[in-house]
Amino acid sequence: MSTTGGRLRALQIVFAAAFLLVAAQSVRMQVIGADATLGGNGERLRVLPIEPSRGQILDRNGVVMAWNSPRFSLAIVPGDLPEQPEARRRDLLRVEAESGVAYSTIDAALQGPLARIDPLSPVAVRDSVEREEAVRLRAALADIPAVRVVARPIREYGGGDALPHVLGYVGPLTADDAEAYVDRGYALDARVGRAGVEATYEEALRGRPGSRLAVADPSGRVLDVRSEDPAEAGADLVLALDLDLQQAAQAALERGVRSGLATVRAEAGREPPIATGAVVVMDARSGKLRALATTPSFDAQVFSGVPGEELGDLIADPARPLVHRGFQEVRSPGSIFKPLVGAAALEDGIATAGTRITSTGALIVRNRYDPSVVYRFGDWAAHGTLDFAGGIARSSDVYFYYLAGGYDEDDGPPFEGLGAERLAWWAETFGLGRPTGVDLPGEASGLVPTPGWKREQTGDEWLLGDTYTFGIGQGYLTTTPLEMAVATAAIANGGTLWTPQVAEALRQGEQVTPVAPIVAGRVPVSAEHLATVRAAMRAAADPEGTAITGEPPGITIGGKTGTAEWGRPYADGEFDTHGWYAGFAPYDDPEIVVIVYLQHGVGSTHAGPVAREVLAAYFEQEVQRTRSPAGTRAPVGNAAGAGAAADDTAAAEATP
Amino acid sequence: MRYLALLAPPGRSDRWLWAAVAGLVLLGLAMVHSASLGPEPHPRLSAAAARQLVYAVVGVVGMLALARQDYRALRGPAPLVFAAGAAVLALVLVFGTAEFGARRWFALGPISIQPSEFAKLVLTITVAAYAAGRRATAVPLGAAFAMLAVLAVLVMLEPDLGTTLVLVAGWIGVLVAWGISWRVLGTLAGSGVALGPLAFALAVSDYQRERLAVFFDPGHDPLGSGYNLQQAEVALHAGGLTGRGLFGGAESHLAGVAARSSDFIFALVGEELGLLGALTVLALVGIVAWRGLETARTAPDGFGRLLAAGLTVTIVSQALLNAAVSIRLFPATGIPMPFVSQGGSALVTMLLAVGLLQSIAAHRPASARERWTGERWG
Repeated sequence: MSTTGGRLRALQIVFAAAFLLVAAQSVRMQVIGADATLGGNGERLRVLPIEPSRGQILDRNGVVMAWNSPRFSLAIVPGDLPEQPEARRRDLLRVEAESGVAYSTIDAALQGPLARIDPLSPVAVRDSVEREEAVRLRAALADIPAVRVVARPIREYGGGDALPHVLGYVGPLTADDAEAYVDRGYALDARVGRAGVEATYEEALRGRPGSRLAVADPSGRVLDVRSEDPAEAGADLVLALDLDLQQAAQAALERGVRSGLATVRAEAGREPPIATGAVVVMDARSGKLRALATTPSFDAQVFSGVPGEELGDLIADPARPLVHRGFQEVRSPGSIFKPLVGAAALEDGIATAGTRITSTGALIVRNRYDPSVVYRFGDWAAHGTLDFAGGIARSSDVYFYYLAGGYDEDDGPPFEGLGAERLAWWAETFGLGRPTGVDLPGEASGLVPTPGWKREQTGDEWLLGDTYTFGIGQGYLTTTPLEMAVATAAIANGGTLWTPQVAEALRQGEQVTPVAPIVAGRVPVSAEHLATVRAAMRAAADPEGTAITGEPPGITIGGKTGTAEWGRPYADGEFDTHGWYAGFAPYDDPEIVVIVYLQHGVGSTHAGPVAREVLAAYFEQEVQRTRSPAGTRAPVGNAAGAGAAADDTAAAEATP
Repeated sequence: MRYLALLAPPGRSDRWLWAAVAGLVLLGLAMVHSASLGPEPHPRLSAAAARQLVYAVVGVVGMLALARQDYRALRGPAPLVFAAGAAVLALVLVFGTAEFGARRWFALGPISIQPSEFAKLVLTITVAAYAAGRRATAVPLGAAFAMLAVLAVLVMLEPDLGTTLVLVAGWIGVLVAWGISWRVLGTLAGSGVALGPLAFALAVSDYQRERLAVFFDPGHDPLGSGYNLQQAEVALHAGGLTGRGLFGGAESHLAGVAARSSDFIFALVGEELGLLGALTVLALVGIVAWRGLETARTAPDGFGRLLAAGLTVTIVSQALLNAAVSIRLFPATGIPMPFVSQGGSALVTMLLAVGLLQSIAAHRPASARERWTGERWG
């Protein structure tokens, strides 16, 4: 018993020692402070997010189009403001006096929906503050704990008016999407891509945010950083677009719009209030867009930093310069639709290369029930008898009335056309009537009409005349220039429908990841028939053809003009016309497709010369590109350069 | 009402022990409620606290009922108790539900039972029953070690390192009271130290290694495992002498620490009730230690002495280990604070252990002073 009693005594001693140790350590940690860096006054460890630096946007040759500039932001943490209204008002008035931001503006920002989501998240009241001003503000407002002056780089854009729609801009979260972004790890005061490639490639450009464990005082000022998980900078986005070519296209486009307008003024004596236009240049072998011009445009600098009054002016402008006419607006394509009709007619056996049709300047159709009533479908000239190549080269409307709707000859067997349903099927097969899926937000999609659609929309029956106007790319049919580029490229490249892309590659340091071309589909037209259509477009660009105006010196091309009547007829029965041009070059081994659209103009007279300038600029650059020693220009991830065969492989893998 | 009399504490039970345990249980309920609070508005009784209250009632009823029984009745069926305990531990490895990467629980509808908690009682009872009346020579020592090994290995397989450590502590408590020679104890300790690295290499899982690495350098993984330790440190410091007040809810520095209501509850006490609160907890546990060992010393027989010593060491070592984790004296192993931490199986087990202690206390021979007060008031 005495032994065990001693043992229990030993246990008591062990316990007593352990209790003393635990109690002493508790005292040390709670009162003396185990860690000298963690002082009193509510200092605490916080996990603070680190925003990654956003990737730059470069053109195909490495010219920087969007970059970050160091700036500061004056922000207020609503939750750190005094609760008492008088004290709060006094603080905000001080901020107003020092920063020049109106009290009402500050107050509105602090009452905004974002501030309500998390009152402890800073709300920016003034962005884009220069360094000296930031230092002054920080000193002047140091005694208001709710005020933060923090480094916040601003996004700046270059290239003048060449690329603002493509680049887009970044903006703050909105009440509607804030929660979704916060769930994805964004800070409440983050900036995200709101338009253009800034929006499409947001994830890659943003990078991976990091975090740091830091000792902070109650107002969030970091006193000491314990450890850091660094942010991973966003990738640079290399565009397929070529700034030089883009600027050349922009200049040519503006000249074309002016010449079209001058003609309308001089010959018709009319003064259209607005004149718009677009140019699309796409690589026929990959769908990569080399230029995407629109007019009227605006200076990308408007989107830099904090968009201000200029942006309001742009929104209010009746010419709607914020809308890219290349892919955000639909119009009748007119005769540049004819090569598609031609390919369809050849493939469906409606016509052959030798099919001959006579145009006397108009097609007369008698009313089915009352032959005394006749309808007249005009041609733009009496072309006489034409074969398939001639029909396209001369752009004979009567030729395509036949192919589209057929005709009951007075003498001889009736000519059977494609018919409206078949025509619509072919138009959709060429990618019309739906968005192309280009890597830019806000794409418009044209309309491919069908008899069913017309009945539904208007309650009226589809007439033969509807098929005729459809066949020459007018009437209800609408497309974007970009849709026509994709369809024309399919004719040029042997039937591949590409999903157009403005992005060429993503670049993370030295590592370049090409953005793989995407095949959207194939056009079921035989190689032979496509070659027949290309030959006809080649003939159109011969001296006797309408499309000769688009051919640059020294290059043979295939081309097609379009002049689409639109709007309401004037008193003299004349219409306004869009001028179109669709071309591919070089004829023998097509690399490039160009689409020109002018709101006011004639295809051959006004759109053709724009296409010629753009093609000339393209080939001049290609010559330079191949001649210049490696390194002086930096073509990045040039998938197209690898040749069409390689493209097909890469694209096949990328196709879902 | 007649049946309630069955729950009345027996005449010669230990009042200090009753009071200390009552204080710890009530404090535990308050802390569990506080730990489960989110941002305002706060419910009057959080769901977690309500559940804990139910377990407390179950445990207290069990404790009072056990205190009225004669603990000596356990001695006979001890082998049966051991066999059943080992079987259940084996079953949980097969049929148990896995949470946090460990297979430790039986899910029975809304409640889950953690058999390894009850294993603490099983081991103490069995070893005490076996050792009582035997001399602590080589063969009985080996048998006692085998009992520990069976249960400890089964618990280790779940894996549950914290409970294993408590099992070993309770077993050593019985052995010390048994009267084994210091030489044997020294050999055991020595082989423990020697086998440590081997056990570490063979049986310690990756997350335990991680915790160990973090213990020595909390900055090692500040956003992961190290976060708990860093936050515990900050919370204790913020608590200071008198604490930041109960029911801070989401304001707590431990708000991001998942185990704040169990493994880190000592840090929560320190934050909300300050050093005074933390020392109060230690003092109450100290009373349990004092009265528990006193019960062992005055136990009417060898079984009672060994059992009381084992139970007391089990409770107290567990409390000390839990506190040590929060104040960075010991790596995080997942040991709850007896009576205080959230968890039904642990609470009921600890209360039953106290019931056994009280049963032993009630059967000890009366001291002179007790005889005197007994004659006067009884």
